Amino acid sequence: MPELLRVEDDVVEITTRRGVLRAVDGVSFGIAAGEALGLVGESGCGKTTTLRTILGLIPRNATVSGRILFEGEDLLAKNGDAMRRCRGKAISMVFQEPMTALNPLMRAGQQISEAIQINLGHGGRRAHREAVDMMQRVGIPEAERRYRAYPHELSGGMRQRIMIAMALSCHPRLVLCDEPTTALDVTVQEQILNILATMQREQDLSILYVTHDLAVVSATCRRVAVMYAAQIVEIGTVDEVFHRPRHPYTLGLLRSIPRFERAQETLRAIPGAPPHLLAPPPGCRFHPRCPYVEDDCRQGDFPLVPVGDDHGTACIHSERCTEATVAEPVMPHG
Amino acid sequence: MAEVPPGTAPTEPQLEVRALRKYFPLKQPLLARLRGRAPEAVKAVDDVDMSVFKGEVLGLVGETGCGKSTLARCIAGLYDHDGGEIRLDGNVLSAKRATSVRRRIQVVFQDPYSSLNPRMTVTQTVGEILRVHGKVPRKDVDAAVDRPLSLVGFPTALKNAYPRSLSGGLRQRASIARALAADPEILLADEPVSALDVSVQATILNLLDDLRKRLGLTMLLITHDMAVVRHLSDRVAVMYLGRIVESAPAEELFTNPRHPYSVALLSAVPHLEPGRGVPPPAVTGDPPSPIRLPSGCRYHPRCPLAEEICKREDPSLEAVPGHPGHTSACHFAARVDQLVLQTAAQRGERLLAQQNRAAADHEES
Amino acid sequence: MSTLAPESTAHHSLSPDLPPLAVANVKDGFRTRWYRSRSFVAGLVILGVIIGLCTFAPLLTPYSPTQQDLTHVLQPPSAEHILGTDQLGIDMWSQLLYGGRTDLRIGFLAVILPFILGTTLGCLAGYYGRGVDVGVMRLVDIVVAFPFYVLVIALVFVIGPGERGIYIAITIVGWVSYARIVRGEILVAKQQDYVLAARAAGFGAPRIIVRHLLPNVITQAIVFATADVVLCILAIVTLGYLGLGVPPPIPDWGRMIFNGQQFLTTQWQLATFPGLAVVATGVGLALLGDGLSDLLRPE
Repeated sequence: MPELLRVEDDVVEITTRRGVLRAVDGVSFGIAAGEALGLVGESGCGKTTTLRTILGLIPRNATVSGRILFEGEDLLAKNGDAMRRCRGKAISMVFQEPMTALNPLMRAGQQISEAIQINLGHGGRRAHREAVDMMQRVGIPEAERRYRAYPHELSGGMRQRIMIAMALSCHPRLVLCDEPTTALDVTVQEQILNILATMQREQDLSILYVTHDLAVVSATCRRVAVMYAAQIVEIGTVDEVFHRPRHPYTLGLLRSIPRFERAQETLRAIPGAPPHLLAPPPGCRFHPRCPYVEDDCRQGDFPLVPVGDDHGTACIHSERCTEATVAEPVMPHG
Repeated sequence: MAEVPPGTAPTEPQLEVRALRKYFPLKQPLLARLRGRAPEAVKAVDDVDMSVFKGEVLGLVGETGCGKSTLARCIAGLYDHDGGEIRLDGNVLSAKRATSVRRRIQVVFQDPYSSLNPRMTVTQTVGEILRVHGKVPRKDVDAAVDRPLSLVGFPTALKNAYPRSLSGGLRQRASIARALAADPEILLADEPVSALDVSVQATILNLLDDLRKRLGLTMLLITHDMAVVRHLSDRVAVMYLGRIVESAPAEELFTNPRHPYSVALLSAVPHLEPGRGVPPPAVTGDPPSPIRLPSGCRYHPRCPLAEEICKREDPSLEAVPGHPGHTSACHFAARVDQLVLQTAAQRGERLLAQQNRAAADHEES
Repeated sequence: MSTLAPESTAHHSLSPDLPPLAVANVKDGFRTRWYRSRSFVAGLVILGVIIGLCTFAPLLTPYSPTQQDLTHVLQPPSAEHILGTDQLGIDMWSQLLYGGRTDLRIGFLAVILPFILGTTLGCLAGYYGRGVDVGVMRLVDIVVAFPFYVLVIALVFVIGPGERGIYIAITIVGWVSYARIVRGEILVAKQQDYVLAARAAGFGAPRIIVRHLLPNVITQAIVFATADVVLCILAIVTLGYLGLGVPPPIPDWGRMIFNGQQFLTTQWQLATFPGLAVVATGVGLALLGDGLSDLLRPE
């Protein structure tokens, strides 16, 4: 499949009072057309910042370097106006908190039709029709009536559906999702995930899904990239990475999450804490917490190396993970 | 892991809630009041019956607006309930309770960032409890806080830090230490790990499990996260719109749910195991508002099994025949296992329930 | 608590998640950070200069602020009288310095009483709500119904000019703002989890209000107080201008402005310098308050 998005060596440096830190440090990955890639990691690992660099939504005290190729063009080389034209039209974003992402003073449906008018240049009436149509497709009942509602009059699930409708209204090719279901109840989450999956199939969308919830990635994405301390430590298909993880962090994460489908057992937490990005440890950033650490882990750089068909890891001793998963499989029916 | 093995005569519950009500009245427009209309209220807790036995972990699950936090706060004495009663070891509790009674039920809150006073060090926060409840003299406080802190694995080197210098996991440990410093018998944990990072959740969950075993604590675990519930609970109660709709030993609930809402909730949880994809949703629509409750059974507008009787009569919690300790508030509890199979078929999967039933049948034969 | 076996250190699932910079931050309090806020430092410097000048007045001027010299009235600035003399021959510079003493002293003191009264009532109203809240808020409504100066002037008129009158009048009128600020902050703060935890732990209302609520809400009141000092000084100056302030011969910027305004075209320095002194004090206090609000935030 041709690649729609290619991020190469993305580095985001943020100047703080205490020094310069790299919120994103040399991140590279690609998304094919019509594919969903999950970007997982814990808070502070840089996944949200990575997402935002694609659309250029980074704070003023940050500098970005690297290349972000969208359909062959480098987004970072584009100027402000060109970038603005791209946003919302070819690439759109779904945010985590619909209450803060929607304008509280504007009717919900109007926000969708405004996006259509600006991005596609359609007239008011046509935009209105298309907005209502999109609202129906994302499963909002009584769409015409809800069009006139204000965000605070709608429930969380409804608001997120409006956000999705807005993001999809201009027929983008890539949708960036920043934890869109984290704030929602599980039954509503299921409905939203369903809508995203359906729309992805219907419109042949590519999705970059940022989340900390591995189960959601499992359900929605074909491939996954695991981030730790501003770097990608493992990338591959969800099937491969979750059944046969090749990085100790991924393995540790999988073993520490309480799993719904399995009954009680002791959770094995990863000792220690993620490093502060102002002073990451030398060598492999995970080495202070790694059960398989060896001397050559403590210095040097660790780029991703392929360990299988569409499976890359930054760990130079990844065979230890293989041994561990053979002895004790991560998934019972793996 | 249940404290009370099924089939034996149950001992008296340590904590008992009967017909509890907590309504939050809404401001009424003047005209409506003049017309004599009864004021509307958010019926956060509407006739709840619940029992918690000594030493067990009861998981209370439900979605936003179901009233679980309100219920917890009524039990902890933070709200004055409007009806029904709460009994601790048989004695009735009200919101105005003596300090010696209060210390027996302590709470751990969800948000590690607002659950500690930002202007007090950890020593001061935990020490205050020791001084008020443990009557520890001021000069001994600094040494005395080491015990609860080490119990929760909080490094004593950081005990004079302010909350802003600590990570979420450490703050949560400090919160738990504060709760334990009062030497409680019952710990109410209101979403104790939801605001924490994934890898930190494990440490706190292990900690709670460990504490329960070591100290013999009774725990009421409130959460929306099914995986957490399954990991820690002995028994589970499911709440919907202010009412408990089902209650059962944990594994029993997960393998043999007897309320359509429980089925919907359980099947909506995404599994970590890949390959399942996103099945069609088990329930449509959003939960209705707790202000204008549906007539009869409050779940009927969304229930696939609903019939006429469901719109008229509100079912009460009744025992499920053949399954001791399992209660459900549904007119058609007996038909729910059909619903489970139906949902599974629709979603093209074998639900755990089906697997376990097959295994159980196999054992019997 | 029941006796427990010593914790096994090998049980790494209990090992804490130590952020590496945690220990370094422990000492990061107000004392180490105050110099970082430029507004705070600037305000401190300006006020420091003004207060310093006023304090060391006897060293900075040989003249007394009350000593009249009718042979040297309305003198322009000269080597003997740095800022000249007024229509009674009193040296301007010493009036300015000693007048500063008066106004600054009264300004600061006149803020403390409304601060205490307003904060207390605001706390009680916010924490207890219902009856107490309604009562306090109705009082607020009554006071607020009158324009500030109208009420102050009326009260001073009734009580009589002089410091006592000023303190009483400003307290009666000024507590309102503090009460509203503190009440609002308390309404929010009492919903915070740590307050609920304190209540669940069985702490009584006094302990909760004093130990948990007050330290977290008082910053807003303090910041407002720094601005309020400016307003108080202005009020005193205004009262002085209207002849209701500090009675002569005690030096006072307000009266200096009043006396000097008739000579604006000829000896403009008589009215202008006291005015500038008020402005400088106001700016210093505003910067200080601004800096304080940045520094007192717990993050």
